Amino acid sequence: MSRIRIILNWGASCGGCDVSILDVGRAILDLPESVEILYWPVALDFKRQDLENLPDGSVDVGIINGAVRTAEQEEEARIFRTKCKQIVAYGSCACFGGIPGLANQFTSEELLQRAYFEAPSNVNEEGTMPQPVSGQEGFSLTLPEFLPEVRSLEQVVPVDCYVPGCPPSNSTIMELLGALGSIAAGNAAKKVLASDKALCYDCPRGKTKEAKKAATLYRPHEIIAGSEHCLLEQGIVCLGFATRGGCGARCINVNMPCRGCYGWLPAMSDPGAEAMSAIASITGEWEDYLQPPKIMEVLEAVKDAVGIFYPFSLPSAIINRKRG
Amino acid sequence: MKNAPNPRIGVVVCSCGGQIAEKVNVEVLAEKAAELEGVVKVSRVDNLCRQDLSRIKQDFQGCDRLLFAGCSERSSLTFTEDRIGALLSEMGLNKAMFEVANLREQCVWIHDGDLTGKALDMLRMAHAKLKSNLPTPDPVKIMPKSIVIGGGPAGMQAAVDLAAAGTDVVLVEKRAYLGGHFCQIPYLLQCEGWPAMCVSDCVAPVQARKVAFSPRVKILTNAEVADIARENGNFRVTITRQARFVDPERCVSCGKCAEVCPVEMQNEYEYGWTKRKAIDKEYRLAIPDTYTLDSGACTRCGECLNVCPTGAIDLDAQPEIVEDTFGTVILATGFKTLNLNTLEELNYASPNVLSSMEMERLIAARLNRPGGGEVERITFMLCGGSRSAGKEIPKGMPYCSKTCCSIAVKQANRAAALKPHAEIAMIYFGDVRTYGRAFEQFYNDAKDYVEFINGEVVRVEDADAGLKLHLVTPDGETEELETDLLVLAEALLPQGNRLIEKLKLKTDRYSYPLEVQPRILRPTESFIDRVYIAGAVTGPKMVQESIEQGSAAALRALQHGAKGEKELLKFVSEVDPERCSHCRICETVCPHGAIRMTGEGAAVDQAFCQGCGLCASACPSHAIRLRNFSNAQILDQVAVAFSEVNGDEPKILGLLCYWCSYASADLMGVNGLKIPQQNFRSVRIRCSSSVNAGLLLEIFKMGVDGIIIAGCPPKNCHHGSGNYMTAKRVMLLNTVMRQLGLSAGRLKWEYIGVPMWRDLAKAIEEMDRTLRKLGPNPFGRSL
Ligand SMILES: Cc1cc2nc3c(=O)[nH]c(=O)nc-3n(C[C@H](O)[C@H](O)[C@H](O)COP(=O)(O)OP(=O)(O)OC[C@H]3O[C@@H](n4cnc5c(N)ncnc54)[C@H](O)[C@@H]3O)c2cc1C
Ligand code: SF4
Ligand code: SF4
Ligand code: SF4
Ligand code: SF4
Repeated sequence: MSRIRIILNWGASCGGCDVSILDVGRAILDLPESVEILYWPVALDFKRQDLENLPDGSVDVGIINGAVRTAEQEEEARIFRTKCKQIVAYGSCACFGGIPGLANQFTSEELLQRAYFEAPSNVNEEGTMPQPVSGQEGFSLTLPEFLPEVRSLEQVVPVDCYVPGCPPSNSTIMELLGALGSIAAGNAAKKVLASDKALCYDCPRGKTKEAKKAATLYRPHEIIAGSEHCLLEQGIVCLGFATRGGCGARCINVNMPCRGCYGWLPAMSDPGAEAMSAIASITGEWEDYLQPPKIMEVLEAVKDAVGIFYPFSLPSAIINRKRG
Repeated sequence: MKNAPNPRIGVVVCSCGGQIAEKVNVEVLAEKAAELEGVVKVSRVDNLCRQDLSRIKQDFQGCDRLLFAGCSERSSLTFTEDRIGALLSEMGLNKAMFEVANLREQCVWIHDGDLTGKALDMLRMAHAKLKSNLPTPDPVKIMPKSIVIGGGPAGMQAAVDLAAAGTDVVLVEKRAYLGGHFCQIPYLLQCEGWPAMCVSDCVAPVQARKVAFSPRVKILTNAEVADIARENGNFRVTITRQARFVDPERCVSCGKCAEVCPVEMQNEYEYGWTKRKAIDKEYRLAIPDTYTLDSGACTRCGECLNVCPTGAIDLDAQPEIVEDTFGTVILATGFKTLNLNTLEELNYASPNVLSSMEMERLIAARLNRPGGGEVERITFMLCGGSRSAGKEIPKGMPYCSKTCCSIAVKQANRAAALKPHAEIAMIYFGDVRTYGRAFEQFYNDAKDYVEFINGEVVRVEDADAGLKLHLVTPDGETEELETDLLVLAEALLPQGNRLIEKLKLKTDRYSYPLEVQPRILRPTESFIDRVYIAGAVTGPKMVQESIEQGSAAALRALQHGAKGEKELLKFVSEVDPERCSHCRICETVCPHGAIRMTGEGAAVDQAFCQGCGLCASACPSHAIRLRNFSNAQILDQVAVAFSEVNGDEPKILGLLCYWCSYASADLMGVNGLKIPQQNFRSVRIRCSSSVNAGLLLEIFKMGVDGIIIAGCPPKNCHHGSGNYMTAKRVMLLNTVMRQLGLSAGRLKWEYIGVPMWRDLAKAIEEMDRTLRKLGPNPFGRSL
C-alpha cells in the first residue's frame, strides 16, 4: 500500500498545534509507516522551495494550522491548495480564526501603533516601523505584508476537513490520523472532527444540571468553583452549551469553564451571539420586582464581551472586524 | 419546517371604506397579490368587518390559507385575529393558516402620501410568512377532572362549584378536616361592605357540608400531594394519605374512644390552648364528621378498640397512595403566618405574647386562659413583620398584609364585648388601614373603647404582672406601656411552597405565586396553563374574597374540563431530539413550565406551551423551533420587506412584541400620529425574547440598517421576564458592536407599552436620524 503523502504548515498561531501533533506519544513513531511527510517546516528542515517544487495536485492531504494574518500565510495557503487534493484546517485558529483573531477588534494601524509605540515595554526612539519593503545601503529587504484583518483558513481557500481545538485534543488528533486515509480519498465520514452536539451532552457535569438560573455571574477568578456541579449553574460563563463536544470536556475536568475552542454548533447563525443570548436569559435575580438598571447589573461581570463570546471565532462572526 | 406541498392562498384586500384606498392603489395591490407564489384567488372588498362573511366563505373555497390586507389583527375593534380564527374554522380551515398585512393602523394611518409601495411590501411580508405556515397540531385530550389542593374556603368553593357544573373533583386537604383557617376564626367580619360578623360555627360547616354532600367531590383529608407532574397535557398526581385508623363510614363521633385514651397532646386546632387525646376530634363541628387518630402519639394500647360501639377503629391501618390524572389544578393552600420567633424584640417566647390566630382561639374561649392569667389589659400591635421595608426577609416583609388592621379591630371589638372593663390599646405603624366601608366603620366605632397609639414597639419585656412595652413614637419619643397581653397582627405568607415549586409556578420574591399577564383580566390564572390559584395563597384576603376566587378559578377550570380537550395555539414549540444537547437551557427559560428533560432530551408538552418562543430563541443547538414563528419565516419576511424602499434610504425594522409594542405601533395610527418614516417596517414577534441576538445579526447581514426591538414595559412581560432577557441580550450585542467600532445606535432596545406610542414614534425618528448620519450598514449585503 502506498503511503499517504502529506504536507503541513503553520500560519498565525502559537505553535501549540504543531506541538500537539508531536505530543501524541508513541503513535508518532508509527506515522512514517503510513504517511510520507513532504513538507513541515516547523518540525523538519524544509524550505519554501521544497514546497514549490511539489507538482500541483501531487499531495494527498495538506494540514494547516494557524489563522491567516500576513500575505505570506495567504500565499502559502494558496500554494497548499494547488499542491493538495484535500486541505485540513487544523486547530481553532485555522478553523475559525482563533485567539489571533481577537486582533480584529483593532485596525492594523492601531495594532502596529500599539506594538511599536504604545506598549509600556517598548523603547523605540527611532520610531522604527516594519515595512513590506525597506532598503538600506542598496539592499532591498522584504517582509510579508501585514493584512488588514485576521481570517480563518476557509476565508482564504476552500477547506475539506476541520479539526477544531486549541489545540485539538489527543483523541481528536488520533481520530484525524486514523481518518487520513479516507480524507485523502475524499470520503471521510465527517467534515468536522467534533460532535454535532454541544459539550453539555458529553460533559460529566451534565447530569448535575437543575435547570436553574444563576443569580450572579462570576469571572473565573472571583469564585472557587465547586468541582461537581455544572459550572454554568454556578454562575460561571461556561460555553459548553454552545460549543461542539469532542474535546473530552478537558477544561471542565480541571474545573475550568469551556471557552469554546471546539467551535460553535452547526445550526447557529453566529459563533457568539447565541451564547450571548442564552447567557442573558439564564442569569440574574428577582427579575420581576427589580427595576431595569438593577436587572442589567448581572452583566457587569462581562468585562469583555468579545473576549468572552468570541474568544476563538471572531473572524468567523457576522460582525467580524473593526472597520477602520 | 417544510412548506405544505402547494399552498393555495386566498387574498382579501379590504379598502376599509376608502380609508386604505385613499392612499394605496388597491387595484395594483390586488394585481400584485395575484402574482405572488401560491395565490389562487384575490378578492377586493370595501368593509370586510361590516359584511356578511358568507361571500368570503364562498369566494375562497378551495384555498387552504388566507391573507387579509386591511386592519390590524391585534388592535382592530372589529376584525381581530380571534375573529379571523373563527372564520377560518367555519370555513373548515385550520385556524393558524392566515396572516395579516396591517395596512390601516401601521400604514395609511401613520403616513401621508402615496403608500402603494409600502403596502406592497407589507403584503409581500405577510405572504412570505403565510406560505410556510403550518396547521396547529391536533387538540390534546384533557381529563375532565380537577384536583383542588387545600380545603379552606377558597378550595371548598372551587370544589363545590366545579361539582355543581358536572366536573369530578378530588379535594386534597392535609388536615383531618375541611375549613382551613376559616373554621378556626370564631367571629368573622363578613365583607368590606357590611359592618357585621358571621360566626364560623355557623358558616364553616354550612360550606363544608356542601362539599361533603357533593357526590362528585372526593374528599381526601390527612392527605398531601407528594408529586405532581405534567404528562401529555394533563397533571399526573401522586397523593399520599395517612392511614385511616378510624373508618369514617362507621364512626358516629360518640367520643367514647377519646374518653378512654390515656395519651394527651396539644390540640393544634386550638393553637395549644387545650389538649386533645391521641384519638379525638379536633373540633366538634369538624367535617368529615369522624374521630381521627394521631399515629405519632398513639401508643397502640388498644383501649379505644374496646369501647368503640361501631367497631370503627383499626390500629393496623396503613397509609395509602392515590394516583390519578387531572386536566386542571386549583391551588388553594391558603396562608401561613410569619414565624414570630424571628422578631426577637417582640418576645414571642413569653406566654403573654400571642399571635393573631392564637388570639382568635382565645376569643373563642371567651378570653379565659387555660392557665389562668389576667386579661384586663390587652394591647394589639399592628404590622407585626409587615411593611418593614429595609429589614431582611423573612424577619420582616415589606408588603402590607392588608387584612390585619381590620382583623385586629374586630378582635378588639370582641374583647371589649367579652370584657367591657378591659383596657384596650392598639399600637399602629403610621396609619390604620381598615379598607372599605365596613372595616372603617368598625375602626371608627372602636375609637370609643380602644386607645390607638402611633408608634413602633422596639422591645417587649416580661414584667411583674404581664409585659412592659417600649415604644418609639413618630417624634422619636420613647414611651412605656404595661399590659397583660400583647396580640401581634403578624404578616401573612403563602402556604404550599413545596407544591408551588413542584408546579414551577412563577412567584414573586415572597414566594406568592403570580398571575399571568394581563393579570387584570386573568385573575386566578397562574403562569402554568390550567393551574389556578385561589384564596389566601395569592395574597392575604378575607374569606369572602377567597370564596370569590374559588368560584372564579372553578369557572375557568370548567371551560377546559367541559370541552375535554385543549386546542393548541397557532404557535407551539417542538423539539428535534436528534439535535438536543440536553443543556436544559430551554427548561430554565420556559416561563410556562412546558418543558421537561427526558432521557431523549428536552420534551415540550404542547398543551402547556404558550408559544412565547423563549425556548427556541435560547436553544443554542437550534433543537427547538416555534411552529409558525421560525427564524426562516422571519428572514423570509425581512427579505421582501424593503423591496420598495429606495436604495439610499435607511432600512429600519421594528421587531415588536405581540401584545404591548405591536399594539403601541397600531395606536400611533389610531391616535392619528403621522410619522414620515415610510422606510419603517414592523414584524410582530411572539415575545421580545422570541428573537435572539444571532437572528438580529442575520437580519443585519441581510442589509437592514437599523433594528428597533421592543417589548412590554418592566414588570409587564406576558412571559415573565422576556423583556429583561432581551434588554440584556441587546446590551451585550451593543457592547460587542461598540468593541468592534460600530455604532450601537443601529440596534435599539425599547420598553414600549401600549400607551407609549409617542415613544415608539420618537424611537423610529431617532433611529432614522442616526442611520442617515451613519450611512448603510457596513456588514450587510444590500436587500
Ligand atoms: C387572625 C386572622 C383573623 C381573620 N379574620 C377574618 C375575618 O374576620 N373575616 C374574614 O373574612 N377573614 C378573616 N381572616 C382571613 C381568612 O382566614 C382567610 O381569608 C381564609 O382563611 C383564606 O382561605 P383559604 O381557603 O384561601 O386558605 P386557608 O383558610 O388558609 O385554607 C388553606 C387550607 O389548605 C390546606 N393546605 C395547605 N397546604 C396544603 C397542602 N400542601 N396540601 C393539602 N392541603 C394544604 C390547609 O391545611 C388549609 O386547610 C382572618 C385571618 C387571620 C389570620
Ligand atoms: S455548561 Fe459547562 S459545566 Fe455545565 S454541563 Fe455544560 S459543559 Fe458542563
Ligand atoms: S472545554 Fe471548551 S474550551 Fe475547553 S477544550 Fe473543550 S471546547 Fe475547548
Ligand atoms: S435548549 Fe435546546 S439543546 Fe438545550 S436542552 Fe433545550 S432543546 Fe436541548
Ligand atoms: S414557546 Fe414558551 S411556553 Fe412554549 S415551550 Fe417554549 S418557552 Fe415554554
